[in-house]
Amino acid sequence: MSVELRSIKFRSDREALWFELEDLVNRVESGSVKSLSPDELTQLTVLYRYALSSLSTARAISLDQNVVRYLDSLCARAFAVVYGTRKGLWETIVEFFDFGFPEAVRELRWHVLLATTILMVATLMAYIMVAADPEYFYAFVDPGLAGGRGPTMSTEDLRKVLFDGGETSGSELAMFASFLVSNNARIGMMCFALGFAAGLPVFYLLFKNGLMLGAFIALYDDRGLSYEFFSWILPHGITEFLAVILCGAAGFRIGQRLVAPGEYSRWDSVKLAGREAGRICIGAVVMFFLAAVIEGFFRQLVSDVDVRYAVATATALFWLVYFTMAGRNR
Amino acid sequence: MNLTESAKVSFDTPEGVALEFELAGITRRAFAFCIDFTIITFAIIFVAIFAVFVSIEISTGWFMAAYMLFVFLLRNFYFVFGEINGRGQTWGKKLSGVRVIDLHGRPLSGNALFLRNVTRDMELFLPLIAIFYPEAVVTNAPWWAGFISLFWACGIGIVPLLHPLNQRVGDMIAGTVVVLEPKTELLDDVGSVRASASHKFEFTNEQLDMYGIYELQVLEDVFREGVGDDAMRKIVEKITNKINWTGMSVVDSREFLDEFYVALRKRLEHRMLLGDRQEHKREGRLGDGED
Repeated sequence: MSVELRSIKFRSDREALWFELEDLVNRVESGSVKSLSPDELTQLTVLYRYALSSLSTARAISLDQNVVRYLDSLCARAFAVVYGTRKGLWETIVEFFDFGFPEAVRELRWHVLLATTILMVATLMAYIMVAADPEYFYAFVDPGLAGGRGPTMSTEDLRKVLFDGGETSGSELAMFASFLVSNNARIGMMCFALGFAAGLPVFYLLFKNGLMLGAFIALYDDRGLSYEFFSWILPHGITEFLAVILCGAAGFRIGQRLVAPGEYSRWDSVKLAGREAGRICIGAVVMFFLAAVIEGFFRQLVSDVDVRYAVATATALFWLVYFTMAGRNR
Repeated sequence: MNLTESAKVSFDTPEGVALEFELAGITRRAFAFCIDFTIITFAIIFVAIFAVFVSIEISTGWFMAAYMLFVFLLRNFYFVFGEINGRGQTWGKKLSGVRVIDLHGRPLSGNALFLRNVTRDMELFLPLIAIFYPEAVVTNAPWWAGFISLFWACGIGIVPLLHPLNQRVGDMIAGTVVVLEPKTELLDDVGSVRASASHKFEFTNEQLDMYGIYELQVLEDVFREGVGDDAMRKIVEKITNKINWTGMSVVDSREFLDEFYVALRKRLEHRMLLGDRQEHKREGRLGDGED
């Protein structure tokens, strides 16, 4: 009776190549893929397949559990290197803005339309009501957010709010902008998170924002300052409200998927919606960032009404072109 | 609940081989999170202290703006960027030996990684804030809103404990799972050393068939860990009793075990090739049935 074990021969025939693969994987794990030469990269994928085939053979013929475990772990690690994340950080970002984000928005155009409509209706409602009776202003606008503005304020003071900032230093503005970013982006993310409660909270948030906007419009309109007011809010407002609308649309999508899963199971459907909406949410965070930069710097530094309108128009055009054109040819 | 790390997830690679991953236990994941959280916290504090030392006036707005932006980016994107850059591992995950992988073995997309991390906010931070300060989440929140949040936090917080794959809500949406980063060293084959030994003992197939793969691997562990002579003798006693050993008396238990291991493995591997896997030992003693 010979004592030669097949599994021992199997291992000794192959282990040199396993070690070679392990060495490559170690190097990638401690540094990056870039530390490998092109030849080594090719070698990595060849060795990975080789190890996989060893693994499936080992499972069938070897009872040395250490060998099977070793190959299991080696293949798993090599798998993460070969198939883990296909793209680097920069590529991921570029591809997202070049294609992923505008495409996701286009897919949800009806939801975007719905969110826009809700915002508009709320704005109009508040406008009509406050215009008829200024007392309604307080029903729609949180006193904390109004910053003392309201029907009791003098026209001169209201005008000042629109054009102040002439004396503030750049550094203070930067701080203000930074605060806005953190604040607004969190609201957007919350809109997305709240979508999981079937879209109702999103409806509420959109509606509330619309009411507030409408109330302010009515207030300034009443004093004949609407032209100046729009020049004050639109340069950043277009971007910011668009981001709010997108977050709202994403929330609606999740709600829709939750209530009407269609051909999917309910849970699969929600997961799917989360993936669709997630992309929009990332994009919206960036939009909030841009809006805050405009709000924090530009609006406070430039008080010329015409320039403000020019910038507002430019942002509107930019987003229109971006969302309709970007990534179309992919 | 998988506090002990034993549950597994497996999928076929594109090459058609099933890869198995052990799921990371909750404690280990919590540990990874604590490391990452500590890194974030220290980075935030460190930059502030650094600024004081190089005597930038903290009160100046430019610095505050940059600082707030830095904090915002760090808080919201540390995990996403870390996981994209580290192929599923942030520093904390690397240190605690866990990794995010796609549940079905597809490449990890940036989108999936963002999703699993943005929901962490909803699962953990938002409820925590809401508990202590409901006003910050919903303006004019009544005092009892905190309790609702507590309920919510507890509900969502225990999801990974109940879920068979230990997935968080974010993992479920993103289709990811956190697994142990396997790192096994290739050790010497315990059989190869022993196969070359002189063989004094002959075992019959009937004797060897009393034991299965499980026992063989227990024996492998015994060899690797190395046990004392007394324990070794006890094992030999059990085996000789079970297989009804009638050959030469065992003087050196080590030698006997070595040869028994090689013979058993050869027998089992041979049977396995023919599609006959015996996982466990047979009940009773050899020959008992015929008595």
